[in-house]
Amino acid sequence: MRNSKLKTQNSKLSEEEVRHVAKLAKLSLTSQEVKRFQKQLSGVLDYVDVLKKLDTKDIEPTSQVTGLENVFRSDEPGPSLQPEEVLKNAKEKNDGLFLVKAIFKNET
Amino acid sequence: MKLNELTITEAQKGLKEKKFSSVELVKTCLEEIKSKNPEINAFITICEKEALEQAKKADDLIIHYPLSIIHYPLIGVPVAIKDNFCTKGTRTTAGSNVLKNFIPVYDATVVDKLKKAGTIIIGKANMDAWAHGSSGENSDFGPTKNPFDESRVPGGSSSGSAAAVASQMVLAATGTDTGGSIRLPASFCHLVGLKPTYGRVSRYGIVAMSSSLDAIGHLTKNVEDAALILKVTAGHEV
Repeated sequence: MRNSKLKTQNSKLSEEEVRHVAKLAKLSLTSQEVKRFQKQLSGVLDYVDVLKKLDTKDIEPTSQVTGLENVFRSDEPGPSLQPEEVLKNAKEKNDGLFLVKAIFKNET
Repeated sequence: MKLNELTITEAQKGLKEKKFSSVELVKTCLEEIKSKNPEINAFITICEKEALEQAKKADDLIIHYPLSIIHYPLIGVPVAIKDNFCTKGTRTTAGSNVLKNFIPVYDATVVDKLKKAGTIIIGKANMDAWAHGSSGENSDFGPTKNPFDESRVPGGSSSGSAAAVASQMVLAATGTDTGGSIRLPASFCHLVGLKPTYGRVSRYGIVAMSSSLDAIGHLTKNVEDAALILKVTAGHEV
């Protein structure tokens, strides 16, 4: 599909919508960037419109083509390590727990 | 031919026919390590005492319970374990000083399976730290040399594994491969390296590089030996 045809599509995002998407992604955009992404994101939507033209009436939804499935071992509880063993490599321990330096200050 | 130069198949045959003992085989490997490792630096930890004890046990089985050895498909085979496989009671560094004092309290599934199959762990093989590297130069325990030419790299990250097998210090070695870490050293050191399909061999107890990509395999002198080991290591954890 040629670009000229894409441009005839009418799925242009508004600047407002671009700002909303940016907000959801926790991104702050300059007004220039809003314009740039408005163009790029609209282009993506246009492409989806092109794909929509394919006739998929008789095609089953397909996520993969091999039909293979994962083979997992049974997820059952078994014997586990004793607390002393778990703490064996700890540099410091206290009362059956790992002892590490505090990361946050205690604000009281 | 010296015993340490045998393939797994040849060693198994010799052991079962009592042409030599497991202790003799292990001692020959240890001698080879003592003479070559100071230059090659294939090992971070050598388990001489434990290996000889295990070899004695293997000899006992072969002599006193010959019918039972069918349950030990790799009986008496001296192997090196890449140092990112947890080995209960034996230091496991992943090639990094961060773990230089880490002594695991459990065996990786593959280590457990190999032990139960009768292999004898001779030591822990050098590697690029955290498996991050392709040359074997990136270990906190010093670079590993290529046994064919010490001015060259052996490939990595399973560098010590490859160098140990190629220099006849052990009959086979385990490795891990995420982006070439078995295949590269195998090709650099003229060995057979197998990177099994992801998930074919358990990753449990192995210091991860990239959990959704790490494949657990091994390096051997020929294809037959590679198949023998895969038969033991493949499958779920038990």
